[in-house]
Amino acid sequence: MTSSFDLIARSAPLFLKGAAMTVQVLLMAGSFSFVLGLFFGLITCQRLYIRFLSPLFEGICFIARGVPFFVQLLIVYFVIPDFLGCNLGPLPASVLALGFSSSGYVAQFVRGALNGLPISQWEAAYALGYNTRQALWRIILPQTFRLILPTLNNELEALLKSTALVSSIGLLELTRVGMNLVSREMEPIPIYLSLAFFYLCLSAALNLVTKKLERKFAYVKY
Amino acid sequence: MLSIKNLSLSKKQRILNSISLSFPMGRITLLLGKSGSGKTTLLRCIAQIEKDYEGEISLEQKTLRSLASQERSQLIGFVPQSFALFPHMNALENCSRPLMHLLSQRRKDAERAAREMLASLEMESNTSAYPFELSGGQKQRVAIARALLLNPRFLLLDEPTSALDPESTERLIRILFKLRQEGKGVVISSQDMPFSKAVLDRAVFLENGRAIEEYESSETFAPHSRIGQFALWDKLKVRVQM
Repeated sequence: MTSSFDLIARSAPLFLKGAAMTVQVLLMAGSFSFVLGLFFGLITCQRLYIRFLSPLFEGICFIARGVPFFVQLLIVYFVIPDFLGCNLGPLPASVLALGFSSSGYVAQFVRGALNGLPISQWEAAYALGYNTRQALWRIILPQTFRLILPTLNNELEALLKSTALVSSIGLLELTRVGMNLVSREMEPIPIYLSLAFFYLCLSAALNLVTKKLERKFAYVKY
Repeated sequence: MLSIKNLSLSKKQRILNSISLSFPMGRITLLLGKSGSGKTTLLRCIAQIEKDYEGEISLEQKTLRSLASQERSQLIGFVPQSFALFPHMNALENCSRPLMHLLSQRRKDAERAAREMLASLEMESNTSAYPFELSGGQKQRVAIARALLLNPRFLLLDEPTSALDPESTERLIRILFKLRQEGKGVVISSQDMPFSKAVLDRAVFLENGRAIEEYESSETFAPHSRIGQFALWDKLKVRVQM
């Protein structure tokens, strides 16, 4: 028992380093996913639908949601660089694959919220003199953001758990650190339990932040 | 003078049918008629929410359709039946943000103007309330304040009394008389005859998307006319409800 605690204490700096990498991947992929998902959601919603172009983006969203994340990661890391004749490191490949995969879901949240907003909100903005771009940025998107916050929280948590899979392409994040430690120390039980504990802590921190945001923006009621 | 020439609008069916009307400044014009007669659609066309109409709507020789949205909003203000306040903004922000976004006013100036306008509509104690915390009458006054802050020449109100108690209706009537005194034109769609009789200077009766009768306030409704029958029907309806 004492040796297990010893091992965890000795491994803590490595775990923290791995956790930092996990947070970095999460933040980068989360931002990429949000921007891409917002764009996909806007272009595929009923109000801003563009013939031929919107169905194309709907197709891209379907691919993002329909292909397993692990397969997307392998394609981004091995296939695309081969096609383009370039090298893609594990970090950019992980961010791209995670962000793209998650953007398909974020697009659905954004599209659903935009379609669900009362049409009178658009009309009131137009009647006041807002053009479509101003109405979107000043009136519609702030409401949409508030409406999708709880689902974005879910998506971020799912993204956090998906980061464990990028260990397979050699990125030294939390899970990879744990696997390396198990190979070195041959003590899987304390290490994997510590790994689970670190993920729980990250998840709790994420939950805390998003819950605070939800409380702050909880006043959109129709 | 707000002029409408040969206004027609079709969607799946004909909604407005070759309407030609003019609305003078400094007067309150009521659009009367049963549900589905085209009153709201006519207001939506004037406010340029509906843009696929045929014909021409102009104010002081300016065709509304050709105006930029910001210029148009300083000519025409619209208060929809649902009020459509922005739910993520409180009453003060609902009124001040359009001034900041559209007229590039500084926050301080926009909020001062909004506070003054809300106070003039007896809403000074509710400036920090969000729309879901306001009653129907309070929401309506915020919506009117929001439209008036852009200083439009004409104010359009769609069924303004549908969510109001008698006290709020009286307050609304006082606001409308004040606007008339300031020389603004007001166009209201309504089915509420007692309210209509209390405020109207002119009335237009619509039926099946056509403007079929026009009245001045000095005229009495002839019992055999459509507007007379409508008034009588409304009176009877009130009696039945009592």
